[in-house]
Amino acid sequence: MSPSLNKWFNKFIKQLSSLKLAVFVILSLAVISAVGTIYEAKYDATYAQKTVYTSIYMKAVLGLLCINLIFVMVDRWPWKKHHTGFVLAHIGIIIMLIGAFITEKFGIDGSMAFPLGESNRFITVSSQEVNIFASYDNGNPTRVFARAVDFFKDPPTEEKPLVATLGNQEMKITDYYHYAIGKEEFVAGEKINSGPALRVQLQNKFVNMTQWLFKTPGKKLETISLGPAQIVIHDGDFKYEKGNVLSFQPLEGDRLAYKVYLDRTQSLVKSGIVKAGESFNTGWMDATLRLLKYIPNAQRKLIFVKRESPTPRTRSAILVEYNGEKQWVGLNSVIKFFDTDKVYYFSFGNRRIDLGYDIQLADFRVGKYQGTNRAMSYESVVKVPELGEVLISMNEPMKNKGYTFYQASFEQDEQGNPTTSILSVNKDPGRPIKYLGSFLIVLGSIILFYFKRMKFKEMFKRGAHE
Amino acid sequence: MNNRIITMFFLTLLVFPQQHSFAALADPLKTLHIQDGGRIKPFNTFATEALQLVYGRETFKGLPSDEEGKKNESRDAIDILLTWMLIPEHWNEAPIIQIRHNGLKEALGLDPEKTKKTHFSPAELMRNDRLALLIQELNNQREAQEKLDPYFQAVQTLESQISMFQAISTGVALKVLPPSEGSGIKKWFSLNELNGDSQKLFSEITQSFIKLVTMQISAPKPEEIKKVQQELKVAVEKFKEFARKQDPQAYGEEKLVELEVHLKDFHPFQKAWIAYLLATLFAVMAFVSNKSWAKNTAWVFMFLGLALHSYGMFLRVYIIGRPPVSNMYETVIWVPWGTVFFSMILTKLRKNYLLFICSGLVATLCLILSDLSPVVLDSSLQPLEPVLRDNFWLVVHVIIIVTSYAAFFLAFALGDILLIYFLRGEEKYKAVIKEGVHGIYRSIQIGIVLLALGIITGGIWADYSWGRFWGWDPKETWALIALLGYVAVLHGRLAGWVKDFGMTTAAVITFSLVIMAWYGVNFVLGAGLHTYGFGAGGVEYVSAFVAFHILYVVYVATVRKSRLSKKD
Repeated sequence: MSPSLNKWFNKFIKQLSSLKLAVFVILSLAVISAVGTIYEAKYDATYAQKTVYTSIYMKAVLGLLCINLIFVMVDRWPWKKHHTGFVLAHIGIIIMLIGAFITEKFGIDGSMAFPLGESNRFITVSSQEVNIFASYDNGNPTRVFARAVDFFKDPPTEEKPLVATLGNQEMKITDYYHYAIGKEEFVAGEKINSGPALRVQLQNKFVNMTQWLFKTPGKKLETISLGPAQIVIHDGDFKYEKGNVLSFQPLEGDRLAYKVYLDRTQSLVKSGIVKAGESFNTGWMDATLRLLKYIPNAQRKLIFVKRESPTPRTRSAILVEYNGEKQWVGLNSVIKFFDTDKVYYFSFGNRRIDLGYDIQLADFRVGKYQGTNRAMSYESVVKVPELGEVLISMNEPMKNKGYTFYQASFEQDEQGNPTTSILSVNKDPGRPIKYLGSFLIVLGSIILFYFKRMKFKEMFKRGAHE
Repeated sequence: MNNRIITMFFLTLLVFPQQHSFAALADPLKTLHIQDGGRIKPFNTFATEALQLVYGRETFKGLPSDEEGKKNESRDAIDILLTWMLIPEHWNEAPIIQIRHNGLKEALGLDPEKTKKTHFSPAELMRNDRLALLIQELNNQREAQEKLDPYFQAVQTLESQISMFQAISTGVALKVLPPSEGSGIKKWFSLNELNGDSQKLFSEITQSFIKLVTMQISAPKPEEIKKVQQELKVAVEKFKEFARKQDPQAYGEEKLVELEVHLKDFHPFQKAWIAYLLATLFAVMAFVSNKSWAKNTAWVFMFLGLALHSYGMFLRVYIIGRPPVSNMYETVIWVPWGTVFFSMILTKLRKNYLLFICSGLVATLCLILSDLSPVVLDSSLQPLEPVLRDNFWLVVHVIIIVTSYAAFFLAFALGDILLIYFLRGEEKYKAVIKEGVHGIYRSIQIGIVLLALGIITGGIWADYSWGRFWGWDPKETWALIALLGYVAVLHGRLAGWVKDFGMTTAAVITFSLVIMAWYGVNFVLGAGLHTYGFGAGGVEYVSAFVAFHILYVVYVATVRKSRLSKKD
């Protein structure tokens, strides 16, 4: 090496090992993380993960941190006794980052849902995929298309759709909403495969409720509860039993016959004929019923309304186009496209990993705080091949074949009875490495500050002697 | 008959000040066991919590309609609650429900003259046409699982205030009798469900109480009151004996209930901050004059404060049977304990009484704060969320992190006070500043080691119960950000960029990160897995506190800079 190159090289090393770089890296890390937490508060954890914590900026800063840590230790070579703490703490950080990297690359982090008494063998993870199955003449569906997707990163558009070629036809995904709320809509359709749909509003001084009522084709009647009453739509005869009931029967054209029954007298108190836009007094608590809309031949359609930020109700949705027909599909659901000789099933959902064996939920128990509905603890008893019955409770996971199963949460019905137990499942090959790193960091910092104290003491002593 | 007499009592409540220094007429009722909020609590606690919710205070200060100037003495919550039950129709017309949200008052069309009225009567609210609509809207929001904004939170509070008042006046809220052993029912019977013996026994309690109340009109002698109170006590004991016999296990330990009443009545945290304040004053004397009697007195009061403080924490832990790590209130109590503890060690080592002044101020401030706003800092003893139960790592992790905040708080207070010395003259007070900066340095070091350890033990806990060592949860991320902030400061000092003044300002400014991790994540961001500590309120005060300190640092820095440039 020529002397000038050598000098340049030394200078470069000095830069990479400098405290200036260290402080810059530390502060950048702090700022980026802070931005991440704001995103998480505004949107959700996934959003923050994808835009900040696993972003290229974060990776660059962490890379720079590793380089800085390595070079600062090279720079202090040969290490002396008082370097112990410094070296341990810094090596600890590098080891921890290696552990984190291994977790991200090779780890699995997912969940499994078990309805009471049922089995499951698939771990659901956060990455998503699109599958299309075809079924000819009502035969068994076969998979004709599969693709792992990340629509958050590369959203499909009208101009740049995701295309699945099926024979000589194309199925296209042309739009993506990251946060959307599914909404039922009723549109006027053909006479076949349709039923009457009406939108009713019940209003008095205290309540104001609006709801759709739709009779699925083939069914005799459909009932909904609206405040103090039951609203019924029916074909042919309707037999009154009890309660406040309002019945509707479609007539020719845009008219409906209605009948009002009163619970108190157990009898018919009122009847008449209405059309959309008209209203009448029901006689229950002085409430007026208004028929806002009436579609004699309606079809149910699921649409998605875009939201800027998430609520527990939102999910992602995509717009799929085939043969000129457009349908929305929400995450983890399936839609159908009918063709002349076949049916296509289009599924959009989280990727699933096959465990290779079934796990059955044998029992699920919720302990509650006395006299309340607040959960105190909950636990699942699962049946696993080779292990038999195993109890999984909060803070007491089950380990099997490299995976660990944790009791994460549960779902319950309106009466507060549990319906589904949710386990979080994961595999983390980086775990021991991260633990080693943590241990070294803490040990290193304690030694570091202890030596500092000794050095200070010496300084003070010397100061006193001089 | 009874009703009329109690009505008269009600009127005396409004008109006459309390004539006797008895804490509460119904004092013996304080230890009646009530099942509420998932645990067994004394009636005393139930009553203060209920009054706090409905009326906005733990004691009753008379009605706003009373004449100004003739201040009523405060009355105990249990007395008030009992009369809610006995003569609900009168309280129904009294303005006792507190509404503070102006938007809600407007929506209800209350107080159109904008007289800043804050209390309204239950009847007035129930008559209000718009209330049902608001509650309907609230239910729609809940059904759609939307995040409730402050307006709907206020509607929600009002809903629970009204239902609490009604549940008390009808007796539904007071669950006093456990079902008999082996019945398999966990829910206790409330007052309106009592029958036979239990009803008779409880009516003896009410009879004695009514007697006590009616005596008030004729200005009785203290001994007479004592006598009837004794009667009441006997009635309460009899009822308790009966209830305990139903299911001794479920009825709960008498000792715990008594201790809880004692905790509320004795109020150790209030006494602790008075001791800390005195310790601070003597530490100031010790610091200024260097007199040994002042030093010793400061130590005595510091120890006294710490003893009272520890006693209070011990009581809470003992009563609820878990470590004090679940909400903001408990950390606001814990942090000053740590600060005082560290300052004692450092003062012992370096004989620097500036540390005492700082920790004394921090402790006084925190403990006063913990008392000041029960809406923001909920002092009630709550059972734990499932994830927080029975876990060693959890306890270790929270305690270590909160203790690290205590060390950073000490550094912050030192920085605050040293800035004054920088203003008064850097040269003149060189020795004080050197010693103070050393204290800051030490505190930050302690803080860093503890915070790093706390974050890692948190990781171990998360790994153990969720299978995730690090998940970028906002609470843990902000703890990391605070750690990075302080680590950056120490590296800066190593490089020689951060000298004494830099260290002082850094101690003040970097503490903002701790405030964000400690308070901000729960109260401002309100996101993430640590939802069990979430709350609302006080944001404007905390922001003002942080902003004030930043301005203070900027001001001192500017003054110092102009001085230095003049010198050159």
